[in-house]
Amino acid sequence: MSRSRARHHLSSPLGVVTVVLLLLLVATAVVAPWLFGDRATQIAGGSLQAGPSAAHPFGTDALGRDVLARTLVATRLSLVLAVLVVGIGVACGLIIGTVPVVLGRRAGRAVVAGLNLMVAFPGLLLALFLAMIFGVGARGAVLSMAIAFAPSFARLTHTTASGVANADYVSAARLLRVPRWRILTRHVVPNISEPLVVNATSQVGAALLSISALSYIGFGVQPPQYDWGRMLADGLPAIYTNPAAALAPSIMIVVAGLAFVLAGELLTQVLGGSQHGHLRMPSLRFPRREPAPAETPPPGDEVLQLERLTVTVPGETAPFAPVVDVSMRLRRGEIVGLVGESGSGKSLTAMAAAQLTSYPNVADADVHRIKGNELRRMRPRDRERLLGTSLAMVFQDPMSSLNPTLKVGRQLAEVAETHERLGRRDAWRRAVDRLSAVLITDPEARAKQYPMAFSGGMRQRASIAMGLMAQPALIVADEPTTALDVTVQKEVLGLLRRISRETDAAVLLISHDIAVVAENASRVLVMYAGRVVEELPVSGLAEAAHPYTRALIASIPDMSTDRSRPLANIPGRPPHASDLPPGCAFAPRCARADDRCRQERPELSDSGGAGAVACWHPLLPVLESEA
Amino acid sequence: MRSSLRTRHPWLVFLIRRLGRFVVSLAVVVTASFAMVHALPGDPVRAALGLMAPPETVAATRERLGLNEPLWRQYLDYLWNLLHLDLGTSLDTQTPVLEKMAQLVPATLQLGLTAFVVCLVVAIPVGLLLGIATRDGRGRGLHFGFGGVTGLALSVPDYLVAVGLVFVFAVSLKALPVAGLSGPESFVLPVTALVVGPVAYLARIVRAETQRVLGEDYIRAARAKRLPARLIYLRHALPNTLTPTLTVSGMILASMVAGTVLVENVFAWPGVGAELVHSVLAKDYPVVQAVALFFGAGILLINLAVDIVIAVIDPRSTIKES
Amino acid sequence: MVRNRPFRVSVSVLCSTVALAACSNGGSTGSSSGDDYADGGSLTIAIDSDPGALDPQRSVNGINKMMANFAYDTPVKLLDSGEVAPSVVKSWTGDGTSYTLTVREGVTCSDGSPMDAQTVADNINYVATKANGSPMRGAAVPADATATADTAAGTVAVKLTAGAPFFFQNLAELPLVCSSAIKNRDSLKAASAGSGPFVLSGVQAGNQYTYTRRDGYTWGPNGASTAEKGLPAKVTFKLVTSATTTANLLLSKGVNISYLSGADTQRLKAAKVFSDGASIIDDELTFNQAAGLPTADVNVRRALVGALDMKELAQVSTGGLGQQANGLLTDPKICSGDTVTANKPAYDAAAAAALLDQAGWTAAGGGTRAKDGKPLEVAFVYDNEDTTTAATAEYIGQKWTALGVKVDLKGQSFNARSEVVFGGKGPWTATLISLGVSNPATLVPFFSGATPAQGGVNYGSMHNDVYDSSIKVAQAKSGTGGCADWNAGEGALIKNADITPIAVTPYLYWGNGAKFDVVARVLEPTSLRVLR
Repeated sequence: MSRSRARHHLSSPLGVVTVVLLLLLVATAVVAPWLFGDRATQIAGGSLQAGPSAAHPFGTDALGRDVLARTLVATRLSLVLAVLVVGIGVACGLIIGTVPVVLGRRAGRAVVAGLNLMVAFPGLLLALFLAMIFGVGARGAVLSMAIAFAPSFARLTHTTASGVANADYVSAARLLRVPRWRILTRHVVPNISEPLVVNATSQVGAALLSISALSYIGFGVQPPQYDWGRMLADGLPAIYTNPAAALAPSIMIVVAGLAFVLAGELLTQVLGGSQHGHLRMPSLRFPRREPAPAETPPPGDEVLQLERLTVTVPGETAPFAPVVDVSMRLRRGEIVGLVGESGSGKSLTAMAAAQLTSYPNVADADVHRIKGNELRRMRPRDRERLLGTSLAMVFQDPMSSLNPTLKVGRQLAEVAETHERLGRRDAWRRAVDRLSAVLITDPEARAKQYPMAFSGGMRQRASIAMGLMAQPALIVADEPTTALDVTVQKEVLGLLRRISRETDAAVLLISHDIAVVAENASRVLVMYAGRVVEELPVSGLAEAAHPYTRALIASIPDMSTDRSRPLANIPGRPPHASDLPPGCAFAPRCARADDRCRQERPELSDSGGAGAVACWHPLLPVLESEA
Repeated sequence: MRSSLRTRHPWLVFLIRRLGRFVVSLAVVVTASFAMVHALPGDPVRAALGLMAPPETVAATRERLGLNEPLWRQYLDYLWNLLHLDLGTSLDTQTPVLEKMAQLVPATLQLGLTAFVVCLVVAIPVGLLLGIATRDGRGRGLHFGFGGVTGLALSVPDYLVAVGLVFVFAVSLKALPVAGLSGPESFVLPVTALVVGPVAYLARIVRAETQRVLGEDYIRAARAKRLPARLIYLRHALPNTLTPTLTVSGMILASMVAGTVLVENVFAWPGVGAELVHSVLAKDYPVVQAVALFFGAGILLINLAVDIVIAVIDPRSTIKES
Repeated sequence: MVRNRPFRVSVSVLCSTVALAACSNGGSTGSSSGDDYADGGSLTIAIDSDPGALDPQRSVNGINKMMANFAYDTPVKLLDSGEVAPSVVKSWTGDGTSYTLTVREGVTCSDGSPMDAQTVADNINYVATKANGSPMRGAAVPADATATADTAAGTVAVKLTAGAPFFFQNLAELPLVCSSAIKNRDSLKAASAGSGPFVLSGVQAGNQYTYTRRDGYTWGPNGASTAEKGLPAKVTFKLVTSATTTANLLLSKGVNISYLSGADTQRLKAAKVFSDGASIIDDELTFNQAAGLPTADVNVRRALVGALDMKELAQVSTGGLGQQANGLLTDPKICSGDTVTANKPAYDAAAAAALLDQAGWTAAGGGTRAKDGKPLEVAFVYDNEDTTTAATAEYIGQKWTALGVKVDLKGQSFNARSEVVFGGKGPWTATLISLGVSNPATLVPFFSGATPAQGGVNYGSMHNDVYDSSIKVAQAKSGTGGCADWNAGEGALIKNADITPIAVTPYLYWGNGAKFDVVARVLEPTSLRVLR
């Protein structure tokens, strides 16, 4: 994965340019002093500060030496100094930045305060003073620049290190009384090296510029040594009479700086993963299916009708579909559960159902109706109005789904302001009203607070209230309780049930926990590897026909579970959606699977009872009761 | 008691803490400026009086300036004088440093603050728009184009930009003044030279932050509310990108201050930056101290201001601070 | 970061410089008649460093001196001819230890008070009084001078205890302040109080200084007055540190007048910008002769100098703008004549190598030369603030390395280098300096007498018998009468390679939209004209 990703990035335009530039620089640094070393020091008394000529493409300097040769030869010193600066800077930064981890909190705080102060002070000015103290020259310049660079590295080290230091495995090591320095070398340093490497690479460019600046103002490299900065110091004063002499080192400084900036970017992509230029995107010219003819009369109480929904996402080699041919219908007041393991495509389905599929994913369906309106036949503005007023979303993590910089009331009120053109005051009044509807005490004061003042349960209730600002016909709740405590879970689910009952809104309740669904929904859709494998009423769960549904139910501990036996679980892992077997996706984990299962995919079909199942060998209720 | 104070008056606690930190930092800067100057090798008096000055004159001058006192005594005197706004007399020019700084500081502030504002005004919208246009891996061409252009801008030293701008716009095209502080048009080139790098840097940060924020759940929630794009980006995304943006801006301003040293020289800008190199070379202790103090205190003030602005925009930070 | 070096030099050395004698005219171009002059105009003059405290008698800063000329008269003035011309003092007599100055009637200060004999005497006495700490003491005014005014006769009698061969020439360096300012020195910080043609009217320290024309000034050189057509009503001195920026400003008339040297002058020349001035000595190569150093040996020094192609070096040293120097004195030279050609070791690398061999420094296998196991090492310190000086040092370093000398090039700031060489603060073997003096008497303490360790400025611990005896004779003579002896001494210094002048380079003021005269390297305020 990471190797192919690296190869991929390196072959991107950015990668090619960067690698070529770096190779050229390094090659020049290595070879130029050998090839042009003599030419670069050859004094020609007759042609001082001459303009460009065939013999001297960039002219000559104050001693009649060839500027081009000198520029090329100077590559080595310029690069070496920059790398040294970063090397020493990183080393110092690493030491200072990890000190707080070793010394503990109090000493750490002092170090951090000091760092913040140092980081704020301009590096060039600090280096200027230090250069005077160390003495002008290459050594002084490197030392002072390195010291000037160290604080920012130290802070980066500290920030990443303290993140790691709070990680579980480090806490565990602490509990085991592993010595602090060993925690540092074993656990902390290896885990922070990646961001440091990325940062250090791009800082080489910055160091190059800074050292050049020092040399330019005469505090850096001294004759007879020369780097690009010194050449600029010599060349720039004559820029109007002999521009070529200043141009050559300028070009090199810019090119080298650019090479390292790009290298840092490339490394970030290779190591950290930007979305750009890495994955194969689903084509927007994907053969899209035409919406089904409008004449199919929608049943009056159906709020959501979804037929053959497919969601396509980008893949390493080709786009693939983690959701295939999912169909569902939700009626007013109905709570439908959508269950599946993580990766089964249930959240993508939920987002697609709410028309929230975002680039680069592409959702497509034969039919997608909300309250009987085919969304894809609507004008965008009408569609947004319809979705904004009749569809509400509740997300998994209430901590992150409320905007931290806006007052809670504001976040509620804007719904009514946008879709119902309510005035500010009216919208606010309704927000307060809805907050009280979700049982938030002192709603007026609470509305004026920021989300951070809310507890987790309160936030989730607030986001439900947000959905209630209009008259939702459908609430899509994507794992609404996963991030909450058990007691709060019950409260929130109860609230959803109550709302559904009182407002006659349909709820699509997505959960990985079949127990949650069983307690709250009336109907269940079970998803496996991007497809619905079984659909059945909650009452029929015990007699589910699909072995996977059975396995899910078996994994629920209840009062009757024999605690002495290990909890039933499903062996193996679900397949990745980009790599599905030709037959039934569950077959590799299924005890009942045979060759047919492995070769031919079963379609969802009537299971005989109130539901449907996609299985060649469904479990029959009769058989089960006999056993 | 303490926690109740904290919850009831987060602002008060925040301000007290933040101001406390400012005062401590300022003390450090004052001490550092004193220490740095005294760490400079060489005799400032000899440098000021010239080659031919007889030893007795040098000795008398040292005595008069209190340079023969023990260091702690000099430090106390320095603090005492500082409290009385007495920055001493320049060894090089024999003029009161305060007077000189009063002349130079406004020019540098005008330049630096204009550049800072231009930087924010250009970089934030550009970064935001680019972040929106390239969110979730959209717009590959734009992504690489932006990376290349800003990468290039980051790689050109500001003094080169300055010289290049003068070459093209002032000397060749004669469209703008060559140097000096005169009308508004005299700001164009120096400000441009100063902001090219910082704008590129800040725009990168803003873009990255915008992309990060656009991937957050609350943006998904805002989209689920079917808010118009304008509201999603300006009301929901922008304020959340501002905290890191402003933090970085504070540091950018610091680097811009360093940039003034070279840029002021090219544009004959009557400011503090140009004075610094000269006074360091001349070992003009009092001037170097004053300039270092100006830069140090200025940067601290800016960081203070940035933190307060952040606290206003992003209510979380007051809590974090206290 | 090029600095206009002559000003830097003047800060430290020219305090005792006396400008005199023939001043060659630089590249003056064109001529203008009175019709081309604009009345009531203003001019901007670029300065490359801050003049500092503006009390003209308490500063030896070159910029300060240039600006002081606008607000302050001097007792006498130097003209292009090199003669001492009357100014506030209209006639004078005396030599040796006794002089009489007759003060012109009707000279008034900007505050209306008369600039009479008493005020002139007070000025001389103020500077000569040690307690006042004027750096002009011993330079513009002999340290032992006492002046007595005869108010009725309008004369000032000056008595000295020792002879001063260039008394009148030195007096041309003394700005005369008004009587009120002698009593209240602090008043000179932000305003001027002199009898000159302009009055300081605005101070923005570290940025710009404004002078306003004075009405009724009639006692300028050759009767010049401020009523002349074209004389600017306002002159602004503006700080521009970068030479390139100065050139840009000159070309765009952002600045009307500036001193400028170096590569940028080629552009000004190409644009046919008016210029006037003379030439000055550029780098001089000199050695530390302290005991134990290889350069204490005259043969080593002559070998090191002989290894250098002075013709080429002169080009390097001046960026191709100057030529070889023929003496230690800078324009306007008080004693002319070629002291270099006959004395300087001829350029001959082979002969130089042979000389080193002869001196016992032999190369083992073509590497570094050594004597008694000690390598021939030269710590070469130089002022790296000037790019051409740095190039010169690099050139010399390369030639010496080829000769088998281990050269350690140490570029330092002007001040740091001065401290090492003149402050006796550090090891050095060779350096490049620019003494740039016009008066041979000024050179004496540099080449004889007390070393820095002993509280003097004989930086190289030099001792040259021929020089010492020649100057002894010369000092006993007055004025140009001693020139033959001064030159003999100078020749002895060059013969022993104590110091070797490398080049002279043009020292020019440039003017765009303005005309002016530079008299004895001084920009004459009453000669400024604003062109239409």
